[in-house]
Amino acid sequence: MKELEKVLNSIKEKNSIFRKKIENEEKKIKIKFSSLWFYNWFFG
Amino acid sequence: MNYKEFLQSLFKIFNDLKNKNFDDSNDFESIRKHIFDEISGPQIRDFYLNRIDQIIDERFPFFAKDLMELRKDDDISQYEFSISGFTCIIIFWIWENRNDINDEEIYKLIEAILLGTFGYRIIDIQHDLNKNNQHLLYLGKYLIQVHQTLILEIFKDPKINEVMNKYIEKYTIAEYLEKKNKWIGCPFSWEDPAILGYKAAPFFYILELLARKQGKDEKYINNVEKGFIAFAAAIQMMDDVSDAKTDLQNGIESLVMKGFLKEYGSAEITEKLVENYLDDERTMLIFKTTEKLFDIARDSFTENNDLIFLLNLESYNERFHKGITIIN
Repeated sequence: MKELEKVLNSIKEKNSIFRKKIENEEKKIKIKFSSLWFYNWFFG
Repeated sequence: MNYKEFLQSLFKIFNDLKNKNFDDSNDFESIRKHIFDEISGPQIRDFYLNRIDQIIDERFPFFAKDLMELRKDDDISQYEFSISGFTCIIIFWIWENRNDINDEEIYKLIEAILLGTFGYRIIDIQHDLNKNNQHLLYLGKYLIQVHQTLILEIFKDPKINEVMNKYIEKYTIAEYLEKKNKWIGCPFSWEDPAILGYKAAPFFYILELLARKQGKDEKYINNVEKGFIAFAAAIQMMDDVSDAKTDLQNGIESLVMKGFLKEYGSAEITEKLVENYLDDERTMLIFKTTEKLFDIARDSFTENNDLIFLLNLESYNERFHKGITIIN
């Protein structure tokens, strides 16, 4: 499963960068999801 | 496609993924899309939709007409799209861990997940959306009863009742508190947001029972429990943001809107009012709290070295980020 681990690490890194950008740079944000957003989607 | 063909097809997908060499590509976005399209693709989804038809005909002939009607309701049908993917992840996890569970038991597990999800969902929407179809509550309870019977048939664990009751108690606490406080205010606190994950707790006994069947130790099992409760709470936070207005209109003040009813209790609940209430400070609180919940789940699954669950978690975390717009 080494290849899947690479995929996992790439998403993890992307998530970490996004979070740091908001928290470290004290960005203002808006959060909005369409009402059905997570039903019609599962993984990607 | 029957169950046997379905499982063979899934196992082939898992095997291909395991042996696939991605070395010649650094385009992880495409690779990830490929993986998840394979696991939760249309073929798998179609199998599920067909199975739901068959299960209703075979197991619930008396309720078939009403169940078919219910499935046209958006609040139910949406689940039919996500349930196949979620079940496939569990089967992927079983396959990866070489769990001591045979094909017949996996077939039962698929049905148990389907019936449990529909049963709990039917009860949930009758309470939350004031649909005033109280007879459906009895149907929801019956679906849950059949779901639990299937679980008892699959797992011969001597502690099965203790395990199931532990999670059902958590679910009951969360729903009890929420309904008891309708039109009063949110009973949950920012200091302990993980309790939001209790709403999905009935599903987690399946994971604990699978882990126990596999001979995992208490530390591993505690991580599964802690990780999934936090993970579900993070998803619940996102769901509560998207449903904030509808929930309030039905008297439910979710954690993301805590304090709203006290401040605007008698006002007409409009989109604008809800948006204004979600000011910069509150939005950042929601963001940081949700990220901390993801952290708890991430740490738990990392300690367990659960690659499949980690992939699932990071994908949800990414999805959370896609709903965020940076405005300065």
